[in-house]
Amino acid sequence: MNGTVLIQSLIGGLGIGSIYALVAIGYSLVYRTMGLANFAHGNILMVGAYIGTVFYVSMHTNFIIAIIISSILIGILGMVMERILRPLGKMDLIYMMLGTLGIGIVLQNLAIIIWGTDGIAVQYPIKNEPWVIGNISISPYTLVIICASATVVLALQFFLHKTKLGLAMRSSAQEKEMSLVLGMNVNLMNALTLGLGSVLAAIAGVMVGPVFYVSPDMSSSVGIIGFAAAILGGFGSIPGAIIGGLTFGVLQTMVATQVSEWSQVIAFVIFVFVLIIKPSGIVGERVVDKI
Amino acid sequence: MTLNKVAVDKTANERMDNQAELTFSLNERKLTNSKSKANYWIAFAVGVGLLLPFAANTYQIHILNLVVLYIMLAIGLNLTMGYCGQLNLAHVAFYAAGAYTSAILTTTYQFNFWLALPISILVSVFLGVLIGLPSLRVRTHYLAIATLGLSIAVNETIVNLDTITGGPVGITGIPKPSFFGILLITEYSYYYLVFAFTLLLFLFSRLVVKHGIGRSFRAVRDDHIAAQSLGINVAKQQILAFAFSGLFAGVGGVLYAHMLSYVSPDTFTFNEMMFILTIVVIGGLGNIYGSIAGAVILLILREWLLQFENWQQVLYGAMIVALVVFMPGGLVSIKSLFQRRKKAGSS
Amino acid sequence: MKNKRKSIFKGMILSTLAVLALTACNSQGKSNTSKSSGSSTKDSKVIKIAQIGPFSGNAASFGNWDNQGIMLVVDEVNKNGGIHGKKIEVIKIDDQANPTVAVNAAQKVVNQNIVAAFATPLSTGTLATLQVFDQAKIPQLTAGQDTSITTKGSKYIFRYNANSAAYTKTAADYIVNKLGKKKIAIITNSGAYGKGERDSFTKALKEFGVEPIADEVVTPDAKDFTAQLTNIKAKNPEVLYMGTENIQMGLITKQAIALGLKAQRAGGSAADPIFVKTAGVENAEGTIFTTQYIPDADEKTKEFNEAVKAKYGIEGEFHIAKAYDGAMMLVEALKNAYPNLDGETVAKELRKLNYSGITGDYKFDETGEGTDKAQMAVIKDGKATLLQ
Repeated sequence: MNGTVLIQSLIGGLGIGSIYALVAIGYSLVYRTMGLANFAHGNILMVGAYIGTVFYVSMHTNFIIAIIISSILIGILGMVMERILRPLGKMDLIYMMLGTLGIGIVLQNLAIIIWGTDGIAVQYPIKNEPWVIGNISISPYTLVIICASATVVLALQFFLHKTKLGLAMRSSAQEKEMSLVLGMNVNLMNALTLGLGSVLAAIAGVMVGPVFYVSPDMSSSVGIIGFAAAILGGFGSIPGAIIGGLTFGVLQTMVATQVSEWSQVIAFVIFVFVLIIKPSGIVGERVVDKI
Repeated sequence: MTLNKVAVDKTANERMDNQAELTFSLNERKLTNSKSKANYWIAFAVGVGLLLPFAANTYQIHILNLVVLYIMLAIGLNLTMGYCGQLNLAHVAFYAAGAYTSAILTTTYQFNFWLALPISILVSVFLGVLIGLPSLRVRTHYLAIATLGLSIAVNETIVNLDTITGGPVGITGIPKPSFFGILLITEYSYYYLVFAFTLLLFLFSRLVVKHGIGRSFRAVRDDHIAAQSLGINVAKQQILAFAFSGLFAGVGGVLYAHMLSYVSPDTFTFNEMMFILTIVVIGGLGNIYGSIAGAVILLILREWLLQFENWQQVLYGAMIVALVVFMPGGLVSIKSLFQRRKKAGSS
Repeated sequence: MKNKRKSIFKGMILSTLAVLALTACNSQGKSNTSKSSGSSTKDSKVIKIAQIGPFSGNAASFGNWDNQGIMLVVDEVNKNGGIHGKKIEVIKIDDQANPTVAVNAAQKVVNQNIVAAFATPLSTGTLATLQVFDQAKIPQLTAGQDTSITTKGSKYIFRYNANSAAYTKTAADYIVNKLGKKKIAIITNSGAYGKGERDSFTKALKEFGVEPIADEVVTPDAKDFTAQLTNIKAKNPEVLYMGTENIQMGLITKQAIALGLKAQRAGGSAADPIFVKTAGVENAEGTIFTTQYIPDADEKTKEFNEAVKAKYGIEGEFHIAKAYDGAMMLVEALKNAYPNLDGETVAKELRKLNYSGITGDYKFDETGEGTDKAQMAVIKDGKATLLQ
């Protein structure tokens, strides 16, 4: 692997990796708060991408406004979903998995019924002339994705640590009983968290539209890899989700330059080996089993 | 006096013994009663199973073949997931391993079916043990995504090794097996082969569940730390559970390949995994009979839902959510659901 | 022990009775239906044909396109009085793009007295159902492109489009001999279509003495091709051949341009309007590709296009055109076979046909291949235009 290919694939990997990171944060946020692994998350991303794209492509709204509209709508969808998911949060993982997968199937096929399977092509919102430095050419939109994701993550951290609502959400996640005693509406907090996680998915979905093409099947690979990234970093941890997402993106792209058809296979095998060495993920705390 | 007392004591003792014997014999009768009841129902089901082909047309017999095949697949997954509590999303990879090994051996290398069968089972059991290894270190969500990832990796490996596996278009012309000189060419005769294997594996699973292994499995599922302290070798049980998954899915895979005479990677997808998992959960986790009912219902439901085209999947998804939320015990919990309601009504 | 044996025995007896009852019901039903269906071949007013394909899930487009092409023909025939007074009825069954379900569907329609089946638009579904239709002696029409479909010994398979080999040979010939380009890079996916493209295109290039300088394979659901395109760019090719489905082809085009890869882009039949939309009109401009269908090329295609627009409100499209030609041929064969509407006769009549349609001239050979002709076209102002 020569230097050019290395740097080029590193940039590409970080671009796709920051999308995985946003998806992974969504998984982790919801898990931390509700104890729920939401397997419909990938499908929420797809629906978000569709809504944003419909506004951007068909109604010619500004790209950023499209993201905002989609975020609001998907946020509401997430909060509504909390009501359906509430009974699942207390169940065994298998039921949780099947239940959320069922919701995913419904969302997926409703999307197919509404928008068809052909998908929607999205043009870059900025002029995407590559910047050429030596042999390396950088697509400006990749940098836009990386910067935008970083901004979103910073804003999220600010929200969770510095605002009253964010603090309330964190406390209800960590000390459910105590929060109840203090008169907090835990269900509302759960709904807000699920809404917030869904907003992240919607932002990721709309942003990735011009690169990925918006179609119903975009959910499957992003959904599974996003979940794997959340696990790789340490389920429930936001820094872990970021590390997991970027690692998966870079790993996949790097392997793809060498043996492209094996990239997925090798990425997953490495992933499992990392888990065997560090069973609770890269930055996850050692999970203490019930004693 | 003392003598007298001894005598009284003796009679009291005797009485107690008698009572114990009585309750014991009562219990035994109850046991044999319920046992013979179970035997009765199994015999009934086997009888129906053996005679059904005479009432079926070529389409119905094909669906029947699949139903019996999926019963086998579902019981295998249930042993691992329902009894041992291992979140195994790689069942479909073992299914693929069995199907592909037999397909390759009987087409490319012209092996006899009966020789290819044990080799294929060995391969899928081996894969089961291999993919089960992470379960020794990781649990719950972590294990689910690890097995799912490896399962995807297996499918893509099959696609990529196209010189051996035929790649994305798969392998055609897999020969039908013969049984003591009878070529099982029609689905009617093939049905008895699938039926025999499913019955065999069903009886095997009943044996497993009822005896030591089953108890250890449940102990591991309910609390692996307590199980460890009771002297159960947790690691061994977990690997064994994955090996069972490999065994059942492996046999199922071989039978699938020779039934359709065709295998392709499109069969062994995440959707298929979902489908088998749904059968197990809808039927009832940790209940073999539930898996049987689940397979029958879901395969017929799938055929029936096809007419709704795009809406079929919406209905299917909604049905899964509803059943999981309202009837988490699966179909086998219907009885207890009614009992509870009756109790609530009477009180 | 005695008890146990007794209960098993009782169970057996009871089950026998249950099944006997079921058989009685079923055979009664069967005899009813067989009475009506037995006469269907002679006196009934309808001729049944089946269409199996994906109508749900991510591959639903293929099933729907096929259906639109077939129904265009069938509705027209039925409006004009059918075949010798008999209407055609299409039994449409979803296979979820799952080979197992496709075989279920095939078994189902074989039991419904059909005379021919369109099954399926995907190569895997076609291969899975080959044996069922061959054994039932029912002509099976497919649009699957994989070369192996016609080599499995089925006597009832008919392919109503050119296979991968025909397409890629035309493309290789044009690129190497006409354009004189020798530095060719290939990017394909590992799906059924992509694999066919890769195998046959490299083979065709070899025949002209050219070895590709880069050969990248991606997964069918890959969306990011930075890594592969970076590799390709490092080799500095003159031509980039993309053997993937339309959406991936569009994404590759877009990302190749974003990476500054300046090679002549070429592809297979996937360069359709969806490809142009995905890549963007200015990026798709100048892409050369092989096809059997060029909109508005002559009077016949114009007419077809008008008919599709009138009926479905969409532009005429390659897959619909293929299915249209396939259905036209079947109708022709049914007319000629009348009144002997059994599989064998219909298959014989299909082989006798000399048909000139909108996607080319067809004459089925022994193996079931209909045509081996494809044309070179170029995207000009966002539209396919004939080359040569």
